[in-house]
Amino acid sequence: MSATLTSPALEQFEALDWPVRTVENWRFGSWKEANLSGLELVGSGISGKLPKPLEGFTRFVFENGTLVSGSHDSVVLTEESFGPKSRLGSPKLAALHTAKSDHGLHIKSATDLSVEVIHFVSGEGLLLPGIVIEAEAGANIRVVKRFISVDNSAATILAATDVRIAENAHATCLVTQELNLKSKFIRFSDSTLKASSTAKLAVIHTGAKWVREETYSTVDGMDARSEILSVALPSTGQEYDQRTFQHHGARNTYSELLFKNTLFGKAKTIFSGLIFVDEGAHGTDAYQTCRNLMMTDECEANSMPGLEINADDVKCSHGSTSSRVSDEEIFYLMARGIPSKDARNLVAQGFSVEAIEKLEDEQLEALALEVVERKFTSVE
Amino acid sequence: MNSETATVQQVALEKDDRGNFSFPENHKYDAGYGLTKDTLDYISKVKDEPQWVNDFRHKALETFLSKPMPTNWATEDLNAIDFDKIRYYLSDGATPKRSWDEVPPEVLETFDRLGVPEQERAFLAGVEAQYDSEAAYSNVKEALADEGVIFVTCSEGLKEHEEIFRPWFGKVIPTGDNKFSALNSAVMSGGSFIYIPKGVKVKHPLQAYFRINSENFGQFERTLIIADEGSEVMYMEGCTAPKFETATLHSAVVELVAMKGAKIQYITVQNWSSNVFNLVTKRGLAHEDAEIRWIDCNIGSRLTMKYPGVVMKGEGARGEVISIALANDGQHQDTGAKMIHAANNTTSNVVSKSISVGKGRSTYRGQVLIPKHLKGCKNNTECDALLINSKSRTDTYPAITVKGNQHVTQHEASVSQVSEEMLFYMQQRGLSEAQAMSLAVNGFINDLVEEFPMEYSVELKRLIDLEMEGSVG
Repeated sequence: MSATLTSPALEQFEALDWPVRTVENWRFGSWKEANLSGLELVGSGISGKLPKPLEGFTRFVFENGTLVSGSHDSVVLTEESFGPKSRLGSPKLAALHTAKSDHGLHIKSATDLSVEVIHFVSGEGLLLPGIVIEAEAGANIRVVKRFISVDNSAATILAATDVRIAENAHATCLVTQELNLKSKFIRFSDSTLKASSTAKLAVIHTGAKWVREETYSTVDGMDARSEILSVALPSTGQEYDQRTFQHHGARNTYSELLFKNTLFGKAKTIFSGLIFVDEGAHGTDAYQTCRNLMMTDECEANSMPGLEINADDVKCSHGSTSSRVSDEEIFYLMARGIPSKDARNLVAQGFSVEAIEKLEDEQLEALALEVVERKFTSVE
Repeated sequence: MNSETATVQQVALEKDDRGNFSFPENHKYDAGYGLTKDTLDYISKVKDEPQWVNDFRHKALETFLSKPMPTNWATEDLNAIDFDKIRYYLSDGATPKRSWDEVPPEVLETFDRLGVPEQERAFLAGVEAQYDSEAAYSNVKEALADEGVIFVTCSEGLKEHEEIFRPWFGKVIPTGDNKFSALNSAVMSGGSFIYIPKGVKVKHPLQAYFRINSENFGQFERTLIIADEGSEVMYMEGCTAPKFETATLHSAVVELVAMKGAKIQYITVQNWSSNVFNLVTKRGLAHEDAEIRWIDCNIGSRLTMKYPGVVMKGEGARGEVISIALANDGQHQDTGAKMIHAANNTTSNVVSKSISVGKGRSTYRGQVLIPKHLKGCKNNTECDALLINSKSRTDTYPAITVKGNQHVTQHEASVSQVSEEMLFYMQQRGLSEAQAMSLAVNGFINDLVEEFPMEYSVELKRLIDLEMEGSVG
């Protein structure tokens, strides 16, 4: 125990400061929510109702920090953090994960592999799961990761993901966050793509009272393609704060980000994205789009789409829009006998589907849609 | 050859040493280097200001000192400003002149070198030529005076028109808005005060030329323009500065107030020499059905930080920012726009185009805010950046906050470069690579250049040709 107390990681954690208002990466954000001082690690958890298994996927189930089922030759259970780096404003939170996380998975495969990880979350306190996904040259890895509350306690999840994709490899990851409305969810999502590799990293947020997500994608090899997708459906009492960074470090790289937020009730969203093109990363092709669909007169959307370009011969663009479902669309559907409220939801679901379809994987798309539909039925 | 091209070529020939000169300094009043409470008292005494202005200055100094440099979001280059090595007030002590004969000959020579043609000068309605921090020449055309238009220096405005001036002064941009608006409030001198009475539509644009002409000397002009109900005015400022070895600071505050149905257009062509820090706060307050347009072109300076804003306070108000920025080696053009929608059915539009040449860096920083319980607000923002060389840099940092579902906002930005095909096509037709590049760049900003008055757009094209020289090959 005394060894843990004096570890360098812990010292670093102690030395850093919790986020403050003046940090640009916390602009519009609820920086006070990120102060987790005094929060103890959560105890052992309870099981929940297992969702229908995904065909061809190896399933791993966690109850809080304990792996209760699942095994595969290419998947190793780890007892410490891989050490996430926060480059978007939360070094203290990253250091907290590094110092105190005691469970995670390390997936490493040179052949095709499909893994499903279910995190059942229960009780009050801090949970620090981590996952490393290594797709070795030529491999095609699919990972689904679901965070599901099994009780109504206020949990705090600080999760970290690191996706490393080697030459000619491919990875598709879908994270669904289906926590109860008392919980907080913080996530670091890093990815690095080598030459000619591709990645599709998607996240669906329907639960939690406060979400902070820092997504950092590094496209490091020629002809690598990275796609970052998000569907968020916050309602009253929910605030989603998503920060992204698309880092182009090599020639002829491609990245595309598409975030679709549908805001109900008094929801609040913050999107801050940056496309960063290194000196010499010529031939970069990068896109960033954040679209907010405003369902009520009380929701709030903040968008900060950014670009920093240090190379020429690049094609970069970003777009951000905020608007509501158009009256024409509602009228069209009502004229066909669909009640106004259903019509509005139908259009809104269609709006989310645009991002989900980009997964180009029937199983993952079906799961994503199911999670989205469940949220729609629960919203007034 | 038509007359316009002739002018362009002729002026282009003369341009080489334009703005690259200075004159012996001859100042009656000099507040010395550094900023203390005594500096403020000195300025107040020289200008014979009422007590409330002096109090205002002192309060502003406290605010300035208490605010940190905004380097949490802005460039670290701001730390290169040494506030102790700046002279905060210089004046030749002359009262504003009423006729050209009384203007000191070296000032006239400056205008010659600036390329203000003799005939044009005669026509320039109400030229407010600012030499150092005071107006060296000021001539409000009689016709304007007859209509009740007030066009005076800011110092005259606060003394002689206090009843109109004071209610709006510092209201659009409060002292504590940012560190540099506080600095300006503490040491302001020069600048204009303009009042356009109800229903008066000023036909000729009002103009002011600003210059910096003393080493380590910053200009802190303060401008307040009030357009009363249903009136219209266009104000133009252009600036060039002689080159100096050490950095100079220019920190202006410009406040516009457009009452019900009024229209204000404020046009700036900024071409400070490349050692000037140009940190300017500009904001307009638009009442019901009023319109405020900022048309802004930044070509010079070492670092420009300028985000003209419009607060749309009355229903149906409109705000617009049209911006062109050109950043060459050693320059950082950090410009943008702020659109605050504070009433129903307000509309704002931002169009920004930037060009980065050599190692130049251009940045767009914008804010759009649509607060709660409003309806029918619209914002459109477009930012396009053109990169000329492989070391050029461009950034875009917009922030858009929308509350409620009764609005429409859209933001788009793109980054591109002049295509090889386009250059090849033009070179095939006999243009040199530099000419082809220049033509392509002018094409990129052409639709915005048209928003400027003719003489400005001619000058702009000329300046861009010059900046593009030697940028390729």
